Amino acid sequence: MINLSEKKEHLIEVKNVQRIFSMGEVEVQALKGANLTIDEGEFVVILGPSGSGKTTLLNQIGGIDTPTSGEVIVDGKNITDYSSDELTEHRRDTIGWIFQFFNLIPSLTASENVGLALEMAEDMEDWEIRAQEALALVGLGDKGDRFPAQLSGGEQQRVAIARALVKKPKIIVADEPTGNLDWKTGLEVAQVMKNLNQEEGITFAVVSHDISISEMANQVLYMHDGLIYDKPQSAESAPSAKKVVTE
Amino acid sequence: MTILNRKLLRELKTSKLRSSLIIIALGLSIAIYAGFMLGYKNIEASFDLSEEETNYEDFRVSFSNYTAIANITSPEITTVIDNIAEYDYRIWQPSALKVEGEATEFTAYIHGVPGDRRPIVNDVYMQKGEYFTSDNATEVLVETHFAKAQDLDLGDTIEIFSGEGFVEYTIVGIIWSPEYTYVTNRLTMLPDWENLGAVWMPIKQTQALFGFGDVFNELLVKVENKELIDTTINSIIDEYQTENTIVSATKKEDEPDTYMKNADVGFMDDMSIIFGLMVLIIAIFVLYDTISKVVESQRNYIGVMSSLGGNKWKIVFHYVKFGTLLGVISSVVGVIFALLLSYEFMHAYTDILQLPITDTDYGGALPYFGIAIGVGLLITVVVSFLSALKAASITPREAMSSAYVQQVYTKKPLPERVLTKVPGFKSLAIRIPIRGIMRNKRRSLLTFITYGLSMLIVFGSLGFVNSFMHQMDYYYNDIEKQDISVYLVNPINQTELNEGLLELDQVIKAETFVNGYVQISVPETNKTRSTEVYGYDNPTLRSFNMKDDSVIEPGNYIYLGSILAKFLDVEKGSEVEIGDTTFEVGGILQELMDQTAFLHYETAQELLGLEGLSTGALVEVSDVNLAKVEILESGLPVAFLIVKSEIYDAFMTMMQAVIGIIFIVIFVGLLVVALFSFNTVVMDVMSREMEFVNFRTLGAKKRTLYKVIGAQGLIIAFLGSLAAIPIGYLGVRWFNTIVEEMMYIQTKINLSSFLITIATGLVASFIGIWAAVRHVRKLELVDVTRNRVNT
Ligand SMILES: Nc1ncnc2c1ncn2[C@@H]1O[C@H](COP(=O)(O)OP(=O)(O)OP(=O)(O)O)[C@@H](O)[C@H]1O
Ligand SMILES: [Mg+2]
Repeated sequence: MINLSEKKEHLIEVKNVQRIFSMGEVEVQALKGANLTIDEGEFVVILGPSGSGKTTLLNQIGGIDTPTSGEVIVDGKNITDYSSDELTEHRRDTIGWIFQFFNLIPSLTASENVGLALEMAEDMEDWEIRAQEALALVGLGDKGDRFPAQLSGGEQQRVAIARALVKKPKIIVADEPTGNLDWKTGLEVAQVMKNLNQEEGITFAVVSHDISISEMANQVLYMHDGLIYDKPQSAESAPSAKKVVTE
Repeated sequence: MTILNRKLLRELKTSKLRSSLIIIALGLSIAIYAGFMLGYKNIEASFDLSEEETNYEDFRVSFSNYTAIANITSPEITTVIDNIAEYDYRIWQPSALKVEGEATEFTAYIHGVPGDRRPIVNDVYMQKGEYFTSDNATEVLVETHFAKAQDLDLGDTIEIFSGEGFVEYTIVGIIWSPEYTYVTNRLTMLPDWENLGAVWMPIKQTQALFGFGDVFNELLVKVENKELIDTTINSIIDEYQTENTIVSATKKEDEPDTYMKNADVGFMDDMSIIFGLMVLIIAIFVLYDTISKVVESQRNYIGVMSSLGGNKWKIVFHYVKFGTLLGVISSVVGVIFALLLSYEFMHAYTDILQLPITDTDYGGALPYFGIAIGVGLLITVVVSFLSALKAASITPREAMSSAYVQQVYTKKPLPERVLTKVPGFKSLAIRIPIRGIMRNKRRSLLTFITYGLSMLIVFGSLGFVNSFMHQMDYYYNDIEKQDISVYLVNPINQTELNEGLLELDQVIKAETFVNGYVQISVPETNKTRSTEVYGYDNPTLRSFNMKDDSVIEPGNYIYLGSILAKFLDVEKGSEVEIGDTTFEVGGILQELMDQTAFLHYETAQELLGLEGLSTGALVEVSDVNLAKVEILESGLPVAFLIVKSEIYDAFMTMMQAVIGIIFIVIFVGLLVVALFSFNTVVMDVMSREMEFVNFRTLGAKKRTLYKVIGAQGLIIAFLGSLAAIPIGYLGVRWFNTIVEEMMYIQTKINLSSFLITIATGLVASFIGIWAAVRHVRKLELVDVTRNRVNT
């Protein structure tokens, strides 16, 4: 029986997910039964020490990897046992990805890099205008014709964000999007993401140690040794207060 | 244009080195295959056209004795024998000639042809001057090779030996004839481009010169129906053979010159296929190696495209387009080079042969262009499809991870564990390349094979030249030991000849023989051939290199040259027929151009109806030039002399021209080796760019880079040569069997060829190493480390 309170589903549900990597004889348990729910419009930040399984968790949500056991439900679809073709479709229709290394294609200009996402989704109508709009949203309206090598790190990351949002995905998944940027540039990038969350209603799942990002979050989760907690498990994984600088 | 197409074009433009490697490799193989094929088709067309224009015979009938012309004109041979479309008669007589103002005597082939009209069959192509004015003029036409070599022109005079003295004639024309495309000596079967003077004169003059009546000894025939040639030949032999006069016929394709030509054309045909195929195989490896490395270096982008939701097939298609584009460019480049190559090839060839009539056959070569381009495109498409499929099949998670994750090391490879025990091999400069090679064993193996294959072309060509030279030396040192062979106008008593020769001051040793042309056939088959037979009695001036050490024995035994035996498809113990006599094949000879048959002296005398007589002798002399004059003036009925050293020189002259062509082949081979080893080293370094960038950020000096990159290049070059040599040896043997129709060659390869091959590989590697180091040193560390921008 389904009761009314459960009728309103979560946008993302991770249920008791395990992910085991086996490398020959050695087995690494990156996720040991992780649980989490994210609702539509939320801005969730995930914290945790290196090696605690943050990237692995994002990969499950973002359709880049599948769990060894447990369930992952995104936008009402159970993607746990998706084939690689179905995962591709999932990434294409629902997810926008942002990586720590911006992963722009050097032979394409900023607007072409953004447009590539549309070409991949086979949705090329007016791509130049849409790419331009996406770039304008991240404050790069005038730099569409530049090649990645002609952009600063922060600009490159904003192009990557534009690329993630140009398809208007329900969810943007970002793995340390500011990890490669100085704090000021990081703040700008964070601001762009927050605006998108508030104005466009895009749900964000972000792994970040950046204080300016975790301050924006309406849910902060802490990972430790393959498990998710709602409060810090050790001092080091808490957002470091000493670096807070405000204008 | 879609974004992916832009990416494709831009990357093609920035990665000029890689793209041009692919284009050169594929373009070269298209050019070689199609170019040689077109060249070969053009040469064939030129041969055909020149035969057509001179109305070249279908077969030639030789009469062993001079025969009255009336025999074939009244009644007309055409009314007696069916299937003759056109015919002409002439005298063919070997003799000697001298060039105005010079003492040297050359072998002369005298053709007595109608003086008041052009020959109906086997006409000549007038390159210079005019045909004879009348039967009575003491005029001659001289074959172009000889005229050129001896610097003869219109108005010059030559002297022809009549059996008694020299008679003077004026040159009125320089001509070319398809009978002398290769200027093959009918006796030695070897081409002789400088010293064999083929001369035409009015038949009346020939008859007068040699003191004959109204006779001829050669009949040239064109038939109506080519399928009935054998029947026609047989009825001519039946009709005109008498007790004294043996009639034998040679079909066009069995004549020494045509035979040589066909074998040569066939050889070219085989060569273009083998050569084109070999380069194509190399190209496949190069393409596979290069394209898969290009795709692999884009792993990160594939990951990006995939995480953006790019469908696998879309990504694969992108790289297939990349391959196709390269294929198309290569085809265009290949076709242009093919046209140039065929032009060069054809001209080199027709220049050597002095072929005045040339033709082209683009239509005939079109299918080969189609095949070359089709295969080329197919390869690029398949190769890019396969490598893209492989790259796109990895999960985006794997694709996005650092470039090193693909190289999983769990233990040290065996060669490393062994080598590092050797002092001086402990450094990382050795360990890294060994790990690099062992990491991807399949690719390394492929690299060695390709490397070996490309060196094979160099090694094979050198080996072939070596074997050939060895065989020449062997033949002229160990088989033919005489200095001069004497041929008589008419047979004389064998003791008389022997004593007559030994009386001469210059002659040290003389051994007589008997020879003549006969028709050999194999019972119960249609295999038949006009063959020269020799009868010898245990000569010391000539050896026989017989398979299973058979020796020439009296009785009904015949010993066949291996090429003749192959043509007749017989072996030791088989039976063959000459006229009504059956012979058992007593042995097979393995010499050089061995299409001759040997009998015991007495057996041959009986067969040719020359009991107690000889037709010539082998002589050993103290001074060749003095001896030549002495023999010609001895009063013996000498027709002409064959001087061994002159034949050897003539052949070497021709070989130099042929070696010129072989050098083109070797050059292409070198190019392929250089290209491939360069490609191997450079591509490998490029695909491990980050590794070298790290070395540099760690402060590696130029020397260290050379050491690391150099060690890998050298290991590949060394192992590649090791692979090339055994395959190369087999390749040369195989090569030698291809030319088997022309000549018998044993496989012998000089040490220097091994060394040159290895050196070539090393030099090519060094160039590759240098280029790779340069590439690494030119990388902008800032860009690479900051952005992972790898182009
Ligand atoms: N492909 C893999 N094969 C084997 N082990 C892996 C693989 N990917 C991750 N791991 C292991 O799983 C664990 C979690 O890794 P993960 O990348 O999720 O950590 P993380 O929290 O993102 O760390 P960081 O903050 O350093 O990025 C680590 O112990 C890591 O070694
Ligand atoms: Mg991580």
